[in-house]
Amino acid sequence: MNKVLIGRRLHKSFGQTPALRGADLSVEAGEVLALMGPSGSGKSTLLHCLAGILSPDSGEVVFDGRRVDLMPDRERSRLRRSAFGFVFQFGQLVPELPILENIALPLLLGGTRRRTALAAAEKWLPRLGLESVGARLPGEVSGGQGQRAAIARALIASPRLVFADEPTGSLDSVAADEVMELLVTCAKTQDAGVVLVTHEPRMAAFADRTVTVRDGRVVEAAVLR
Amino acid sequence: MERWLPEPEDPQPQLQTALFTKVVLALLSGRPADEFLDEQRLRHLAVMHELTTARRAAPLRDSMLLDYQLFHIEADLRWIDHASSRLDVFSAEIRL
Repeated sequence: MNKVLIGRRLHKSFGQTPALRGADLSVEAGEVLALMGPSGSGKSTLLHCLAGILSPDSGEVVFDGRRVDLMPDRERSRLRRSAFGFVFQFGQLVPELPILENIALPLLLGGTRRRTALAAAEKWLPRLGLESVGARLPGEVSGGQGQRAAIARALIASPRLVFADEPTGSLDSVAADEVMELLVTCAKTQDAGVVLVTHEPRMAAFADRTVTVRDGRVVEAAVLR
Repeated sequence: MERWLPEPEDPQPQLQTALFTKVVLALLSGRPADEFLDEQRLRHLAVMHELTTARRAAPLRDSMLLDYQLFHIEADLRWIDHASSRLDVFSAEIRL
């Protein structure tokens, strides 16, 4: 298999508190990988380092043969915008923008013309059951609809990888199942990989592979597919 | 049936006595219970993955049964995680 993202010997501390203590992890192209572990284990910090949101104190993050940890901020931002998509626990949609424009945002930020970007976003609405809420603001839709919009926003620019940090953490079990099913199905359709942080085994069961993070290290792995 | 259907059932704790017994015996005999629990967690997750995959193509009636199984296995996993995080205390207490 082709390793698209590799983290080697990653260390990261916040003040005197170590969050990562030599974590090693690689992500295969197109796979759905779940990071599990107890609260405070370092799984979200690991995801943020792999995604170039945080810089590790030491160690390497390599994406497509390029050292993400050594990139200047501007280059890292460009990489995040062009190659990565993100889904967070509370969607983090822009509250002032309608759902349709939220979905189009990565294209607009990447310089796509407004009309083209909105037309592309429009195509995502029926795929995610959002036809009736495209004109509504995030505060006017349900939690599940907001997370589905976040999935569309994460995938609209055809990223290689989607990073999802507890994407179902704020949802009831039915909405959570729907969101995970859509995330995995849409990502697979686009050949995008998914790196998922979750503490919920039922969500991790959607993954092709799971790893457990404990005390800042990756301690066990299992292939599920 | 009119009497039986509306009558609430007493909950039947799904006692996974083998899991519990293995943890206790491992601790009593000085063997690594954490390794057993880690392996057991992976086995549970693998079965959950199979059930999740099966549910994708299942009609609603079958998917409700698969959900029932998934929630019960998840409950086991919660116990496994809870036990893993308390092995030190449990171990000290059990040897007193």
